[in-house]
Amino acid sequence: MAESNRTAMRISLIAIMTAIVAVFTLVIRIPSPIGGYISLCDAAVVFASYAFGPVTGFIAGGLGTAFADLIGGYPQWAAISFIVHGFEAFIIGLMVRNGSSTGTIKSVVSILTGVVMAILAIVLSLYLFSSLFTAETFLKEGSEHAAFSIALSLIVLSFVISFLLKGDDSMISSVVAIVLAVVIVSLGYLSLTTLFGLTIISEAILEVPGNIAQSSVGAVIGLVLYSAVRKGFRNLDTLRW
Amino acid sequence: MNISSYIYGTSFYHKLDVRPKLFFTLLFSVISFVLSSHISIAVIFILPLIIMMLSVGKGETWRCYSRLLPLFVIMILFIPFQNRDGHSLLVVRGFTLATEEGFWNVLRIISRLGGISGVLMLLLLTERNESIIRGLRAFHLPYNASLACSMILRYIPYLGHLFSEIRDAMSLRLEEGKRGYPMLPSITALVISAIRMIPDTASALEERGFGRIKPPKERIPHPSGYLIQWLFSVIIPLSLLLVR
Repeated sequence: MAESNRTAMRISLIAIMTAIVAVFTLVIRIPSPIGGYISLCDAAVVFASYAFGPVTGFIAGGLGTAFADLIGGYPQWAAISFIVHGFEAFIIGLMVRNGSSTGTIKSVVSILTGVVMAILAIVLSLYLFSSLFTAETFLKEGSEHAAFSIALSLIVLSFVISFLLKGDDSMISSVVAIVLAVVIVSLGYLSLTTLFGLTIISEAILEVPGNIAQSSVGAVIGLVLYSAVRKGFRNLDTLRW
Repeated sequence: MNISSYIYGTSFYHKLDVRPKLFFTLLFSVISFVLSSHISIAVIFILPLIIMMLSVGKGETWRCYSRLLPLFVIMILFIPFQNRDGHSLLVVRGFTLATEEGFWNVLRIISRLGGISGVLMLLLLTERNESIIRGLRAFHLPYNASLACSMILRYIPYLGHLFSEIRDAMSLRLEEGKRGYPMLPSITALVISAIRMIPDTASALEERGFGRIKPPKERIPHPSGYLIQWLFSVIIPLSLLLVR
């Protein structure tokens, strides 16, 4: 294929996948009481990175969610969404090689992972809301820095693990990829909104359970979507680069 | 699906060229992070609010800022309560609920968030998406990137419309009396339809000379008072640094 043809194909792929991510983000949107919203964007991000690799996933995931924020009236979150969802897609795309096993076991494990994540999100939210109204366990000022450091350390650790397991075509790798993506999304929003000075950590921490739930459920839907689309579109892998 | 927030108007902010406007948006957002005086914190919040009211009217301004209100309420409730060092402002039975430092902290964060959101919304309300991309091209955004951005902006409403058609068709397949639509089959159909468009779109690009014909360098003519517009964009945000 000539270089210009390849570039035209890549631009078309990125434009259409970015639009898909933006539509997924805009179609199902539940406003959160803390200013953001819960959407299906993670399903599209996971699908893009599974189907088309880390580069397309990064651009489509990052740009798609940023465009959706700009269009949907949440422009202040566009830059943060670009970074967080871009890296979410990059990590998944990096760890899960093209055409990796998509059988029943993988789907079952993925769904179980999603369920565990959702339960964790509920437990964490219950803990957070109960602790916020108890003077003894209230977050102290010093603990903000500690929480921020832990969040950043976990994100860095996620990157290290993803590079260690890069291209490993196994079910464990897929599950780890999804868990890391959930870590990146939940802690990425937590640390970046604090870092950009848009809020403080004790308030941003309220978003964490919602982000865990959204990204884990989205990841499971994304995997199921990938399996379904692959059955309907056999030449899917030829578009990957 | 309507993806443009643009509202027609003849205000001074509408007339401001897209290049100084983009620069103003960026500089204002960056400067909002380095300000600490009480007056400058107030100006960061109020300036975009006033410009928006003058440019697009009170109704649209309320619509934009009302989205931020729940966020502001939660900040007011939690931040002073959280920051309990310094001079007490509100004490209940010997328990400090709010301090002066906490109060200023919440105002600073609210002001910054409101200011950045306001100035970004102002850009989207007073410029068409195509003009913003053309303005970014003037700041040396690569041709391929601007082409991709234009395509994305065209595909989002198209795919949104396609999804609503698929959703309606899928809902007709449900048993009588059931409402809603099957989500997974609907989004799968949407994604397959979208992926099928990729080779056709690439062929259309090639037919239009992509990769063979060098795109002409688009020049945006300078409007009257262009220099004054640039001075406005630079001086107004920078002058906030002088406020004590």
